[in-house]
Amino acid sequence: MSQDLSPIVTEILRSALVAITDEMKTNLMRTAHNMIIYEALDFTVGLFDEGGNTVSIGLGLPMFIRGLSDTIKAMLAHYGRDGIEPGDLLLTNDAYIHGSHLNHMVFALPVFWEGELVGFAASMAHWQDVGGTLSGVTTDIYSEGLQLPIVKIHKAGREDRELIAIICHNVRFPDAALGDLRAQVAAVKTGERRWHQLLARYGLTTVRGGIRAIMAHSERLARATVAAMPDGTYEASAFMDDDGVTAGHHIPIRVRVVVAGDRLTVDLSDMSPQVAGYYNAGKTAGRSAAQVAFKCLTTPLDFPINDGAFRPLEVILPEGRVVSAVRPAAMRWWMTIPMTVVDTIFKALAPAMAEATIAGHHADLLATSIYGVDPRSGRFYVSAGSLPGGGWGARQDADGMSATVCINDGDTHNTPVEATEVRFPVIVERYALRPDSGGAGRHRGGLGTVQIRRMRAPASLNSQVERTQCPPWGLFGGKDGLPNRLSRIDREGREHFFANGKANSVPLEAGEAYAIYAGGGGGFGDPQERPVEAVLHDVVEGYVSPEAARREYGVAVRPSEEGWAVDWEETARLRAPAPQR
Amino acid sequence: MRLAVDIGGTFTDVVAYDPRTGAVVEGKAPTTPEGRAEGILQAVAAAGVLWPAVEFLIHGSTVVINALLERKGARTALVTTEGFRDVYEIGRINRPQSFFLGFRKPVPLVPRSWRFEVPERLSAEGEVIRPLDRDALVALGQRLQRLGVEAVAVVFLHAYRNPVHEIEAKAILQEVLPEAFITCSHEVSREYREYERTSTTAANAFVGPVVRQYVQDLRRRMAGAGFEGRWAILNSNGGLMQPEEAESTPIAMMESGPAGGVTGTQALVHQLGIEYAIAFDMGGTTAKAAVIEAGVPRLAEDYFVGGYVEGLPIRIPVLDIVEVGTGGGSIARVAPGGGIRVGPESAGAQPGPVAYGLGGTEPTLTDANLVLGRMDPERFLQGRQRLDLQAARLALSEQIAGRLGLGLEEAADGIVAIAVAQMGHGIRALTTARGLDPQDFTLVAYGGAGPLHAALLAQELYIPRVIVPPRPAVFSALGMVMADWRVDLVRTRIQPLASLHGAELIEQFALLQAEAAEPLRRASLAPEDLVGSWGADMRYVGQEHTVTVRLPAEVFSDPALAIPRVKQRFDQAHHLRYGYQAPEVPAEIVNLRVQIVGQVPKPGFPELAVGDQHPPEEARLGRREVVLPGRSRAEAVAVWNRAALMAGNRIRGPALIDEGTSVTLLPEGGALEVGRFGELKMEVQWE
Repeated sequence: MSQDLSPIVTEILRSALVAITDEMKTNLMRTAHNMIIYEALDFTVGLFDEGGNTVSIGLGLPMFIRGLSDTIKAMLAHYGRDGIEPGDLLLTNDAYIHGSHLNHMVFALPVFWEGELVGFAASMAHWQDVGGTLSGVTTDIYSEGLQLPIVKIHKAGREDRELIAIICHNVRFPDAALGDLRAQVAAVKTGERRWHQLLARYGLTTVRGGIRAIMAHSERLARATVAAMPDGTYEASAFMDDDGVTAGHHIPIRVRVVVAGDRLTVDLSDMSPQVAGYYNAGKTAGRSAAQVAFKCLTTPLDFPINDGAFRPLEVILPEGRVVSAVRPAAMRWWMTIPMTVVDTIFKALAPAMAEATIAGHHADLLATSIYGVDPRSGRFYVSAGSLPGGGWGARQDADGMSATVCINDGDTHNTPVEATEVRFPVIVERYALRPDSGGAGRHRGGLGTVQIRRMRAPASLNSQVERTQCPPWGLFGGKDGLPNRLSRIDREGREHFFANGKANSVPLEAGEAYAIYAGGGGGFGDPQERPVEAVLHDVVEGYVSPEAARREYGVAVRPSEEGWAVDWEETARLRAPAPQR
Repeated sequence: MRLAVDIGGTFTDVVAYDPRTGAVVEGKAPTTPEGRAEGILQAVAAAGVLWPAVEFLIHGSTVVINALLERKGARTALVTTEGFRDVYEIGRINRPQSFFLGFRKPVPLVPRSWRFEVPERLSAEGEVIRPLDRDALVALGQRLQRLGVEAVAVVFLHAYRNPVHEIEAKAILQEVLPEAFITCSHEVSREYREYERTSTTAANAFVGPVVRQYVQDLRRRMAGAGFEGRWAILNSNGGLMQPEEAESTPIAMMESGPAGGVTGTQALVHQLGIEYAIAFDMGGTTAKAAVIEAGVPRLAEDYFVGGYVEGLPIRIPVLDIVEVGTGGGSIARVAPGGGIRVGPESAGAQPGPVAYGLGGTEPTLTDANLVLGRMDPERFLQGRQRLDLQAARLALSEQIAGRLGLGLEEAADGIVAIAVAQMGHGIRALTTARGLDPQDFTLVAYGGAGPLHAALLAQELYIPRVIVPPRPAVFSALGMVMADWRVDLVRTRIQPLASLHGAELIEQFALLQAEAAEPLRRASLAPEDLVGSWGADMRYVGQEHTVTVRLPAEVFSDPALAIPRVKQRFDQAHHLRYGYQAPEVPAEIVNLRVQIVGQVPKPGFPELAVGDQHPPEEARLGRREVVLPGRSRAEAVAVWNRAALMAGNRIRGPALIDEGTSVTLLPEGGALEVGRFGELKMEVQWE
């Protein structure tokens, strides 16, 4: 802790840093050209110290918590501190550096004060298109689009026109790409300007002292939480359906967490090796998964998000695993597996901190997309999939939330049905909660959703939905929720379920539909302990069917004048302890 | 006599203005939660106003926001398109607190078992894909009758584009349920996005019977007291509306109270010839701010009941009033792991600050100001409420200063500084999010605690000019006296600009304007008093978010040039807001906007007697021991009695201007002049 800086100045600086990244975020969100940025919030902005450590992050995309910092560190290593000049603007989308897919463009603006490099303002945003195949399947990075190594897109204040021409030549929608590029540049410049204001008002020494004190504070909070966990080794596992290429071949997820005093180690050594299909993530994403889980369990409401909070965390992650993949691994769906890794860490740590953990969630974006020609305009379109949201796990003191975006994302919104239908030639026939999808438990898992989309014109469907086979798990006797699911509905109304959640340019005729079923969350605690009134309420509201109430909760209900009533006699019989054998 | 009544959470404020004499009187009484009319009668009596003398009464009230926050509304059912009753519960699926596993979603006002679906469907183009099943609706109506519903919200997909099925459904339901309050989405909002429209319509239904009762009760009680004049209710858009409108669209009363302060600020800056101002309203429980740009307050792009994180969205024309802090009741705490935090927890008005002696145990911003000598325990609320300085000192010293190793004064000054910095961030965000710079604005500060923090806030934001209006503690009520009639209509009509002809667009606006004028005609306003203005929410093709573009009459002077001119206006607005424009990229209209202001003769701010540069001797209240900002020790600071100041008087900082209900702090290096209308004009400096 910095003794020389008053806690009052520290607090004023803390709120200022949060405000700066908020302003960068607003700036980027409102100026971006594509929906994925401003509706799905697939971006992250932040301020970093001169070593690339995170000072404050504005989300954006929670799973990108390490992406900016690790990329800036790679840039520093690439150019050396002396190779970076005022007026430079650094750019890369190297998937093995930021750990994710090529759509993520990272811009980093070095911030100088009185000739000295004092830090960076950076932004990542998801560009709608970076070239590459339109097919849903890729098996190496080269088919996924344009790769930009670490470059200077501005050199000493001058924009590199040739580089911009190369970018425009390699993407399908150059206007949109340039719009997003401008938005990202505006965001980092905002960060620089406001950081300069802070330095002018408080001076470099005070600002640096404040940053040190803020990081030390976050570290103390995190350490205290870890210290309260019983020491020990905690393990859990799960699996993914497949790698998108070899159906039916599960991908094992194994995590080991070691708690020792006020230090916590997440060991991902036993994760699956990198795969042939497109579900690989880079080591930055693997480390992000561990950090996301750690943040959730230790300092979820401590801001700004900064690297002090992660000092008690160590991540062991050898190269070549599915979350530390190396070139030329295909990375397009990088975000899927880290989500299940986060959930598996929660599961592993359940015995150590029952009050803080959470049962499994649907753990997928459930992003499907269609492409074709819109008969209303005669133009080719690619729809960004509306994220329907699924169920979250129950906790020790609460039911799980229904219809909420997965942990990869945060303040991400779905696309309104009315907006979808204006934009694309589909009719959404149904967008509803999925009864009985939440795992039974003393606290019930949240409900998933179902969305049915009917084609007004021929189109092709791509889907990379995962976790159709490993259901979101319950904890402490809570039952599993229903997993994710995908189907095609033909013109006669017959529903054909896919073997997994994947579709690669599956043709759909006009009048045909597809349905996305989002999984529910896992339950928490023994369902037989759920108060009868709570089960009755669930039946009245239609969250749980009368059959499931009887089967899972041992509660018998029958129709009454008011709707439903409990059959207490039958319930007592159902809930009686099983006779001794 | 023109009378404004502002019902707040704690007090009911009354301001009466006599246009013949220019006299203004004010009154205050505790708000009476059960029968609010009682509080009004008491406050009017306290102001010494006789009911028969009141010709026109303007009313603002928290009845709607309270009913929603406390969830005390009607037994409400929701009727939706088949397949979509869960839209209200699914919401937008977002998690604003990304790492918080205990997050909660907004909870619908109507439980799932009271949400019903009927077969019907329109396309995005507004064509009927599936006709409305009338028989199913009749059966549903009978079921709702058996359930004993008091209110029904009808929301069908794409009704913003074509309300035909909603109109039909309402007619059928009303026949079966003659007593029920039935409201359709197209009557409340004509904007696309089904969740927001559903939430707005459901909320309107939920409060409908409550407000109907409230308005009728008010009408009866005021008539009983001898009131024979006309009356109006302040709409969230800052304009007046007829009580009958509030009965059918009660949700429009949402921000009825705070809108008064913004309307007052607009009127004041207009009289002073100022175009860009920030209205800053700081009370005991909240601090709010709104931006006035080119003389006009903005409408909000979105609004959430009780805040963004867990609040239900409401999509109505509401002034963009943003909460930027938690007011004088903000609690200061030592954070786990060390460090200090101010707010967002607030002691509010009850239990209130420690110094109130009403059970508050944690030190608040008000306690800090008291310890610093910036508030006078004897003069607070004109002596109506005694403040316990010792208790405030003890709480601050034990809970903050002692634990952080700070001096008492240093801790108290720090708490104020932190609160000011935080409010500054909130206000800055309001301006910079639109590409504006706070330095180009004048800060207008009111509410009980606004004047005390105004100069500090100006320093934080590098704003050189601050105005404290007359009667800051009842300024929202005073502002209501200045309100015009106003109707805002927003209509989603997504259309590429290139496909439109100028004459076509003019016709669309003209139709909308005729519709907007209807309620004002019912309020007996003459057509020549109605001023319409047009605008559009636009975007480049491919974008989702829009920019609101003002489209003055000259844009349409030549229909043949109208479309390119609209495009040009949009490019400019986009550039201002986002820092770039793309004239070569095609644009589209998303929403059409029409606003009609019905101007009525109304008072300006009354002028104050003119004095000279030197304040009169009787204005001097002597000196008080005050810890000035950034100092750790008290010093003697001049205190002035605002009531005795005259126009033209000048005061140099440091000084305090006390008016019993509020105190203005003029820091060292600052200068103050009393303006024509009694407003305090401050110029502040910073290093």
